[in-house]
Amino acid sequence: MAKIFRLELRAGLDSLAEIRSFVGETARELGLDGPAVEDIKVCVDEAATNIVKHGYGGKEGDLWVELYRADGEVVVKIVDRAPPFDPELATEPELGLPLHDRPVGGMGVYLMKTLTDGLSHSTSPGGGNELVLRKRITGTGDS
Amino acid sequence: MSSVLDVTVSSMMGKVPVTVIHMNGHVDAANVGEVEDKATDAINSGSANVLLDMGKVSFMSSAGFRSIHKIYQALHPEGGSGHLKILNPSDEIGRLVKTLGFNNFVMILSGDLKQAVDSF
Repeated sequence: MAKIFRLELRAGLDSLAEIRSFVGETARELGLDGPAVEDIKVCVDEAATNIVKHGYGGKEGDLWVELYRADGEVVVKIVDRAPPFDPELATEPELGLPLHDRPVGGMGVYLMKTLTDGLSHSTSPGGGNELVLRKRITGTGDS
Repeated sequence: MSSVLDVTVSSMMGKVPVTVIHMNGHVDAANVGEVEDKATDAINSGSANVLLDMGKVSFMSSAGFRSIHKIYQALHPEGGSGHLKILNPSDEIGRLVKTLGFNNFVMILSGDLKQAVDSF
């Protein structure tokens, strides 16, 4: 069984820096290299921001982040107790439009989809969401 | 631990007056309002050219791009480009600018501040 690294906290927007720091250090330890570490930090920040802002209405709420290595990928699981929200159903930004005509927003989920090698969402039977992000290890990290 | 971001504003004169917003730290949803507020204040006071000095920004999420989008729209109500530029973004932020399709509208500059101001 792969070692699981876990951060549990009552998360608010002020927790984003702590979450990024944990994710960056752990992802590097699990074998991701520079740009991939930055990508996964962005994606987890986006997920946590959405959970706090939309899931918990800007208030603090339970959130935990787990990272482990499986099948040549770093897997990040983000769990909350907020109302169900499936990022797959979010509106995509209209990147083909000039910026002055483009509606503002929708970029966080787009980045999560674009910068990872897999994204899946499920709801927990007891309430809450489980979001799984995968990032392939392509560098020279230890196996 | 909270997100630390310092934002300062200066006015510089090149060929035209330019408002420079200097950022130092991480830009995320917790603190991006400060950047947006300071840019909006400058634009409401008549500034037509804004340079985001990002050489000391080591992280920016989509919250930052959302603000850049709004600042762009305030400076370019008819579209086009040239009144909002970003100086010295990190490699990651530079990649995100392209991923999000901002690069045709918001010019990315590298080098020193004076040259960047003179480019407006």
